[in-house]
Amino acid sequence: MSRRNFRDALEEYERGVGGAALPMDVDRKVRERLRERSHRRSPRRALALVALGATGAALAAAVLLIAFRDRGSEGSRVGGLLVADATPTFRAVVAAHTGVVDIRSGRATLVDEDLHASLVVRERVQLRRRRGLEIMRGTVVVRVDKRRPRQAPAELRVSHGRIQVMGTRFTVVQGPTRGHVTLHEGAIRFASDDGRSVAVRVGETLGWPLPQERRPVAREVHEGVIAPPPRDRGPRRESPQPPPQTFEAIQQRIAALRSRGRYEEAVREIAGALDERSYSQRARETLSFELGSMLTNQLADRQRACAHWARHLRRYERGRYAVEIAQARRRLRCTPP
Amino acid sequence: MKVLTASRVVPSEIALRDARDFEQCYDAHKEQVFRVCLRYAGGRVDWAEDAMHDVFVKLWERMGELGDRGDLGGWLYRVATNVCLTRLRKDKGLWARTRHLLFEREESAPAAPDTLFDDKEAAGLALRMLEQLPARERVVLCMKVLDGKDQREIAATLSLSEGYVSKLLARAWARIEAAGWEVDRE
Repeated sequence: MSRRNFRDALEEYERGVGGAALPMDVDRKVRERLRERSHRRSPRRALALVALGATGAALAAAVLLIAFRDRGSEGSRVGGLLVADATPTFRAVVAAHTGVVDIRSGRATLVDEDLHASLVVRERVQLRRRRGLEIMRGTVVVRVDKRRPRQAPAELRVSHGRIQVMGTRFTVVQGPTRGHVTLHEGAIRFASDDGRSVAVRVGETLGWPLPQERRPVAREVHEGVIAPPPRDRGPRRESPQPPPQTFEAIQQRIAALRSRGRYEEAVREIAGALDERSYSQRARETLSFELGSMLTNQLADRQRACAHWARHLRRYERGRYAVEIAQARRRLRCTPP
Repeated sequence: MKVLTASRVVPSEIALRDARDFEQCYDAHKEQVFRVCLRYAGGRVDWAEDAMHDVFVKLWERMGELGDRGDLGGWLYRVATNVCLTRLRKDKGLWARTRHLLFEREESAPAAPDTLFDDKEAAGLALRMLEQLPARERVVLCMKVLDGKDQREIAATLSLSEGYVSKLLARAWARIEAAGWEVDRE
């Protein structure tokens, strides 16, 4: 009697497992367990932390002092900013002559006590604290405590002006020659170096340098990049292109919309960003998959989801999400492309 | 107004941002992770659920250190495989060994497969055969046969040497062959 081939049988087993979708109750239970866990620290870990804490604290303080090379400052400070929280890989170097803080790796929250602001920074951010805080390069999420009545706004310096803040949360992206700010909460005003001033409302993104000879208006972001200004019917003049959002910024924006359940807006946002040429092919594929997932799972819009998956498969023939997409298409009963 | 301090500012802000990031990652990869876990779970959904939970706990703990999210799928595959391997080895721990010693003779050897079995039965037999293999051999074999990984990739994923991976594969194939299966070791 001929023997059964093990490889064939194993592949048959895998086909059975591979076709199994994540059951909804398992998904729900895992989510709940993860949520609970994120709110508490395991006793084992807490014990380990206590044990390590005593010996680690002194050592950490010493290491921070050396790593930050911040002469004349106390404990965990960098360039005059308090390091409130940092990943183990966080490394910042302060240039002695210019005072520029260069975040080389890791992530940290820095606190500017004068400004009453906290800054979430990650690698390749350059900033300086000299006559106020200046963001020279990189992406920074800023949170400023609400100002008292009649108190002057907190000011943040960027390449072409100042961001005046009355207490709020926003993201600043500063490139070598231009940048933009997206407001998440509160109210801010951008004071350009040429004397113009623009108010930015929640959900809006404002880029600088401001367009010349035209009153700038902060525009709501719908299409992934800042919407183009209204058509100018006057004589032709130079108008700089609106700055594209970084991939990281668009991811943050999508996450924010998603967490608020604003899926249609998130879908519009991603759809606009899909053609953004400054993103890598890989980044665009990630966004496209995110869009399809949202249409499939959150919006449960079968028609749009199937159409999107068909487009996605045409565009990324050997994509990284082939298995997940095949599964989604099976669930949606999409017709073969 | 009070001056901001670390304890006031940081946890809420970071936790909020990380939680959003994390949820996005979870949604994008949960199916993939579940499938890997279910494979090694031998179809036991509760086992796969626990393993999947452990995988995402690791993701939660490492969120701050993971820079490039583009390769998160690969990272999760590695973690899921290692989590499953650890759990499989625990399953074969003291209690399992004691039970094995006590009841060894009562356990039936994996049935010798032949062509009379249909595909579904063959899949069941393959699973039983897999369960007879030591945890490492089982994981290495699945990575080789089902995921198409070569020895170098398997070694990198499981932090083993290539030579040891080859040895594990050879042992696994030998056991399978001894159990009456046709083996193609390619």
